[in-house]
Amino acid sequence: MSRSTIILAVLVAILLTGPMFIVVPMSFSTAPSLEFPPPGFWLGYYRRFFSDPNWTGPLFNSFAIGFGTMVLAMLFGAPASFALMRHRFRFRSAFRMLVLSPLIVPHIVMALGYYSYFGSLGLVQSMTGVILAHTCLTIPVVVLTLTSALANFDRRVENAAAGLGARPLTTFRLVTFPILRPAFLVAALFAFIHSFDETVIAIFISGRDSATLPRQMFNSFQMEADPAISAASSLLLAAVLVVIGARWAARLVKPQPARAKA
Amino acid sequence: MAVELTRPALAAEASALPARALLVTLLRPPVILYVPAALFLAAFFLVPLGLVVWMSVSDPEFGFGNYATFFASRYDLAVLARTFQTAFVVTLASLVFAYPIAYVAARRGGAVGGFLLGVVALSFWTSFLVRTYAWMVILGAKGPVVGLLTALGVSPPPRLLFTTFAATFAMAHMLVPFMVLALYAVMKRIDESYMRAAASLGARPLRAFLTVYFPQSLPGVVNGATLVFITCLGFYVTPTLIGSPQDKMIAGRIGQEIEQLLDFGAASATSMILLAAALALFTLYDRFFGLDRMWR
Amino acid sequence: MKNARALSLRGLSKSYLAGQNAVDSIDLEIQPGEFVSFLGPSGSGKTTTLMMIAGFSKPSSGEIAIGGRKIDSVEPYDRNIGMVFQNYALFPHMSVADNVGFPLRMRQVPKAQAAKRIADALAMVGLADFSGRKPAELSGGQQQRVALARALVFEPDVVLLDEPLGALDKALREQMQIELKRIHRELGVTMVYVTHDQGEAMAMSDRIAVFNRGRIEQIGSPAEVYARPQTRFVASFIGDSNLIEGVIGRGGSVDLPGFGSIAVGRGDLTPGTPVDVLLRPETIRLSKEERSPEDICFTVDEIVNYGDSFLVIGKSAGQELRARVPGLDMPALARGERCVMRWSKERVHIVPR
Repeated sequence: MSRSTIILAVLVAILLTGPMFIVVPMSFSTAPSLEFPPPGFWLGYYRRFFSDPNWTGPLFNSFAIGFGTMVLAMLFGAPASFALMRHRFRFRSAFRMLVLSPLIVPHIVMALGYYSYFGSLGLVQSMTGVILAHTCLTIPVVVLTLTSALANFDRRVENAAAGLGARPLTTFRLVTFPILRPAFLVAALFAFIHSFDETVIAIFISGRDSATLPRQMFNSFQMEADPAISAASSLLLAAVLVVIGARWAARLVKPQPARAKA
Repeated sequence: MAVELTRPALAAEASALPARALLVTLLRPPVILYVPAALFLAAFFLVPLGLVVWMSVSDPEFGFGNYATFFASRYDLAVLARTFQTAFVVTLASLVFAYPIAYVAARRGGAVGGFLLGVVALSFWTSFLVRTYAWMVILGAKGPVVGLLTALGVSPPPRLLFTTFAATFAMAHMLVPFMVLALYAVMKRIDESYMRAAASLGARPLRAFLTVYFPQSLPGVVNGATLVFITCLGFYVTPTLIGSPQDKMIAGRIGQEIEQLLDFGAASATSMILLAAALALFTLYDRFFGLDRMWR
Repeated sequence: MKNARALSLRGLSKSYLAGQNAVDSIDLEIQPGEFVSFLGPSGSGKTTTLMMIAGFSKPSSGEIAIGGRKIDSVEPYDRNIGMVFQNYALFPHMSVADNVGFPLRMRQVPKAQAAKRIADALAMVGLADFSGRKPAELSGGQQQRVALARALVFEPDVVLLDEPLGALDKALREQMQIELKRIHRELGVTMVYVTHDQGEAMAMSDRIAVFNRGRIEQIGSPAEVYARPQTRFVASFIGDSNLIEGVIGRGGSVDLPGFGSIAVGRGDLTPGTPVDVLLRPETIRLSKEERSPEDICFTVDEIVNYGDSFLVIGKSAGQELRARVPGLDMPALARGERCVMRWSKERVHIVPR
């Protein structure tokens, strides 16, 4: 591969990421509107973000909704993944379609559906409503993660456990689950992020009291009202940076042991 | 000698009592595994979706009036055309940007590959809102681009924010990571020996790439293009925040019909047209490639 | 081992598709403490049979009994059968000691006693110092030993081994064969060993069951199966072989077209019956002496030097034959040369067709 190809790729990648970081200087800016370069620097917007209930409330709501969604999506999605990968049943392909279809329907369409549906159920503007909606959209994420982990799972270790005297539930508890634990953790994390990040449905069905962080940010952008959004954006960016950086550092510090290819 | 109660034995015993047999069936895999998820999705996914279908033909009155209105409205048809046009441009642009990144990352491991994947992951996981905000700053009236143009003597400086151009540009930028991951997944499986074989058989690098590598990466291109195109069709946040308020895309139009016009029938009909477009593309994809591979 | 049990299979069949039997009505009685190999090409039904014995696959018909007790409807975890899997199936998240201790934990063996048995089992396979390691930190051969220790530690009634040495290189494989044989001798446990490697089956087994197309074509000691194969398949699958078509003649002789009539001392076959005559390559001797009228002429096509012996491929009476000649007895031959071929009549074996 030629050097110029590599340089091109690196340049495009930098172009891809670079612009995002403009939110960082903005968050320390003293300018109340979108002015760049900033006229001066201070920490006021961070102070505002962490003290103003208009921001702390949605932040808390997003965590609560994300957590609730994660629990429900795992509760429904994990068994569904096992059913899809390990059993043949009559409605299997229909079930598969049903489970994956929330990925296909544009969120704005579902937002409209939930807007009227939860209106009639009295769930509009409630955290429960957002959690239920997010769970539907998140189940496919969980199922995709777990089914691909299950596809790579060598079922002979389960046979081995059975042959050594372990009953099915014991096998699951001592062998299957511990081996799949990383996949379960990843699926749960994806579920949380998927909900935490979801904007469109939250805009339409979370009310003032159950507003999520993305909804609050969206509204602030639209009004251009509150410069604390730059602090919120920088914090979200920092969170992603920390997680990815940590994974990177972990790989640098501890190289993966060469797995003995069985 | 102990007589073990085995599963077939239990089942045989249970079949004596119909009610108990039913209970045993319900509590055993796979039924106990898939029925809860199926019921939940039916109640909280299929019903609201069905409600949209229903509203589109029943609000305010029964019939296809909402659809007729949509297709008779030059405004709505322009929205539809603009949506497809934008999605097309965005898909093409993100493919052009994504291909070199995925190509180098797949063929070069080490520091370069790690850096590229890290950068892609960073922008993949960063919220659309944050990235949209970054473009609001960059393209804003007091932003660096306008500042630069003014310094260069362009006056009055062009309006960049709140244009279809801004929305297209930002969406392409936002969907590049999706495209990279779709391409990378396929490229990673292209064995390095193909390119070596092509070289040993006398193909120069560019020719080897065009005749040997690129055709093998096409499934990734199709995967990525389908995903990006469909995501773009239903994109709400970015066009609403930085696109032109007059020249809406279809998702923005639905939002407007809900929030400003409170016309649920029209919003539902527009939604169904958007859904139909997305489904048609997925069906086409499924027909030729199989839907299972889309998210792998 | 006190609890070596007999294993018997009666009319055992498995069909995946209607009318097609992957395993077709197998009858087999394995004595307590016996080492029996299932030998056959892939797809011959040997692994399917093993999986049915272990309980991972349900027989379509027939029955399986261990020590006289029917186990057809017993779940795998209640069968008390030790199994070594093809790729070992060690639990990747558990240490060596936890892997070996797993069956004891399932049987609620008290901790102290379990620790001692784990240590003994690991010592037996020569891995006493490895108990804290994870499977991924072991070599293939070491993983194999852990799998073996795990399958033996709970004193199972029967131990099943599914091509356990398949993933190892040749030198290690031979070393493990000897070790496995020693362990079998020391413990006296009933073992069923699946392999497609005839050399391995010959080296280790008390008896070999030769599988082909879902059936056992022959069961017998290695010497028996090698010297007196009952079918053409067994004759050609085990060892290198020359099979010459012939017809039974009068007075216990066989007429071989081109070779004439040879006496084989088998009066039990009706004259006129078509048969195959098995001539092992090592029973053929080549020499460059003057040929007498009853000698058979052999034209050399190819000579392969194996160091300790030579493989000579050539033609005789229009038929391709292979001769294996010990290095010391090898006459100076060149390709295209003609020589005299001899064999001892006692070594000739008739295979019914």
